[in-house]
Amino acid sequence: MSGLREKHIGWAGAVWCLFMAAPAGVHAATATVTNTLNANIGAVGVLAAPGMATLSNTGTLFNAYNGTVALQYRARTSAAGGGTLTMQVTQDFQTGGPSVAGGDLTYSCGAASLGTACANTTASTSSATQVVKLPSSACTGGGSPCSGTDPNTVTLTFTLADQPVDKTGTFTATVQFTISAT
Amino acid sequence: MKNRFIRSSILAGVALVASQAYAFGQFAATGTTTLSVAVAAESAISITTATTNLTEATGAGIFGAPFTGTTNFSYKVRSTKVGGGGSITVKITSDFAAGGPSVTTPPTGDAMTYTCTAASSATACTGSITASASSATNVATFATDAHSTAGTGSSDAGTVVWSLPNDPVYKTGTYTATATFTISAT
Repeated sequence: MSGLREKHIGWAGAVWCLFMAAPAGVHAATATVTNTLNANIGAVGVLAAPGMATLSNTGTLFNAYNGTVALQYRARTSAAGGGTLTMQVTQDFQTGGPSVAGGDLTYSCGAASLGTACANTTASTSSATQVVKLPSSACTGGGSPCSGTDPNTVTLTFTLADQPVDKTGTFTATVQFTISAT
Repeated sequence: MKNRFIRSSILAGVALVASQAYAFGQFAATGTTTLSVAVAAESAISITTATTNLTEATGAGIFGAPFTGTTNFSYKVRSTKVGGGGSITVKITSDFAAGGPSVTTPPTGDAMTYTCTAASSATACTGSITASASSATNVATFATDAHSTAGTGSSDAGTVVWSLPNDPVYKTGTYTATATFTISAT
C-alpha cells in the first residue's frame, strides 16, 4: 500500500515536470503578426511671400519703376494632377497714383526651380494670373524625381509704368499669391 | 568651450531661420506682398525739330521780313502736388559765326527773338522774348500739380517760333547757332 502511494507520487512528479517544461518549448517558436500601415499622401502646395517690395526708377525721364519679389513654395502634385501658383492684385494703388486696373503693372518671372515660370504678363485686379504652372507628379526637394531644392523659388520682376498724369506721393498696392495642387 | 560654441551656432541658426521666416512670412496656401512706389516730380523734353531752318518769308520784298523758323518740342511733366512747379527754358549755347547775325552782340535792332506755344499743362511765354547767350530765358512754366497727357508714350507739345532780323550788314553765307532747351520740375 505504501509502495503504491509512492509510485503515484512519482508519476505525478513526472507529469508536473513535463508540464513545467512545455512553456519553454512554446516560447522558442516564431510568431508572425502583420499590420497594414496606410499613409494617404495627398497633393499639397504652400508658399511664402515677402511682406513688402519697393518699386523704384532712376533718372527723371519717366522710366518705368521696377522691383522684384522672390517667392518660395513647396508642392506635391498627383500623377494625374498638376497645380498653379497665381497672383492677383487685391488692392489697387490709391486714387491719383498708378493704376493696376488701367494696365500700368506688368510682371515677368525668372526661372522657377519647379514648374514652368510665367512670361511677361499684365497684372489684374479682377482675376488671378499665372506665375508658375506645376506639372503632374511634381514634388519639392530630395532630388530626382523631385526638385533638387527645398523650398522651390521663383523671382518676379514687376514693372510699373511711370505716367506723367500720376500725382506725386507714395502709393501702395496689395498682391495676393495663391498656390493650388491636385 | 566647445559646448558654448555649439550653443552659439545653434542660436545663430535659429535666429537665421527666424529672420527668414519673418522676411518671407509663413508657408501657407496664400501669401500677400505690398508693392510700394514713391512717385516724385519728373520732367523730360524732346526736341522734335533737330535743325530749325530760319528762312525769309517769300513775297515780303527785299529785306521786308525777318528770317523765321519753328522749333517743335514735346515734353512730359509731373510737378509736386503741393508747392511744386517748373519751367522750360532756352539758352543760345553756341552763337552764329562772325560776319553773320549775333545773339551775344547783335547790331542795333537785330536781336533774335522768339514766341512760344505750349499745351494746357504749361503756361507758354508771353509776347516776344529776346534770346540770350548768357542766361536761360523762359519758354513755359508749370504750376503746382501739373501733369502732361496720360498714357504711356504720350506727351504734350509746344513750339518756339524764332525771328531773326534780316540786316543788310550780314555777310552772305550759312550761319548756325545752338539753342539748348532745359525742362525742370519740382
